Amino acid sequence: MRLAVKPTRMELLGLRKRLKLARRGHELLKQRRDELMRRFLEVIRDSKAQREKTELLLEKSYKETAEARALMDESSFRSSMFIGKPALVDVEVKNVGGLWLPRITTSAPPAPVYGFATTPAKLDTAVSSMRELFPELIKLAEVEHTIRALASEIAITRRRVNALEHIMIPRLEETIRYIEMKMDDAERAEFSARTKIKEIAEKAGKNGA
Amino acid sequence: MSQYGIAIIGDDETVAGFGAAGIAAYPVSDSDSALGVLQNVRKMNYGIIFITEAYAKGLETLIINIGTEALPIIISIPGKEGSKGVGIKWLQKVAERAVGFDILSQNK
Repeated sequence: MRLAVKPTRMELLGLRKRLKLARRGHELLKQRRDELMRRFLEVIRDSKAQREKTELLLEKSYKETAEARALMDESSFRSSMFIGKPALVDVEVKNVGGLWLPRITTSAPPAPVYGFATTPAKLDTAVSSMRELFPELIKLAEVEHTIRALASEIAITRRRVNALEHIMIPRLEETIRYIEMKMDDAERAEFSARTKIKEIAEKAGKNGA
Repeated sequence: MSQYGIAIIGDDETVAGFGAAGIAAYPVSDSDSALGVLQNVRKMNYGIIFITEAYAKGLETLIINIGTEALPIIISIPGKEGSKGVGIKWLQKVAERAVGFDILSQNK
């Protein structure tokens, strides 16, 4: 599809400039897409490994918690699980190659306080495996979020690359060809008109002499 | 750099144990209440919100929409009923959309 412009020299010069810009933009976006893709491929495997590792630990932790719970009455279980201070994470959002990615750092969560004498040993196992799980959960959140951000950025960049490659650049090229043709036509028409006029003028000159 | 808490939304039995790691537990009983709780919890000062697979299922579109914002990070994890592979499947889907084909299950 041609752009709706008048076939003038002014437009032609403008379009040539736009085409040059579009090609340059296309090149840069392609490089960006490839770089994002490279990083995506780097992270995706870590992400999968982290997912599998965390899910295994989760399963273990659930099992142990359920066992401990079965040995205790509900209220003492709940109070043992309760710790006054919630765990806090430091989240630093960093701009990496135009993408805002979170970097999460954390220290070990505060240990729950309960009387060892009155609680079953199973509870200690459950609590310690939950605390072991904690950093893995944080890591999982970080890598999966990174993957999400990269994936959506890749999708956007790819759409832009395609729009330039398959729509914008062909349209500009077609319009430029159209104007060049029109201008050639006009030039030929003018040339033959001029030749004709010259003939007539020469004829008129001879007859007059 | 700022500090944020961590929350988990899921069925009571699953989330109870997370208290031992200092993760705030929000027990819910069905997907509808999970949605309500998630809407409230995401406005609080949490950097990461975990939600169990069973309840995350009904909330996929919401999670995808919020998921593009930097914070909070919303991640689904298996509940006490065990992993249904939702997390891995999700990763495969993301990879497929980004790369154009399923790279994860291919070279297993």
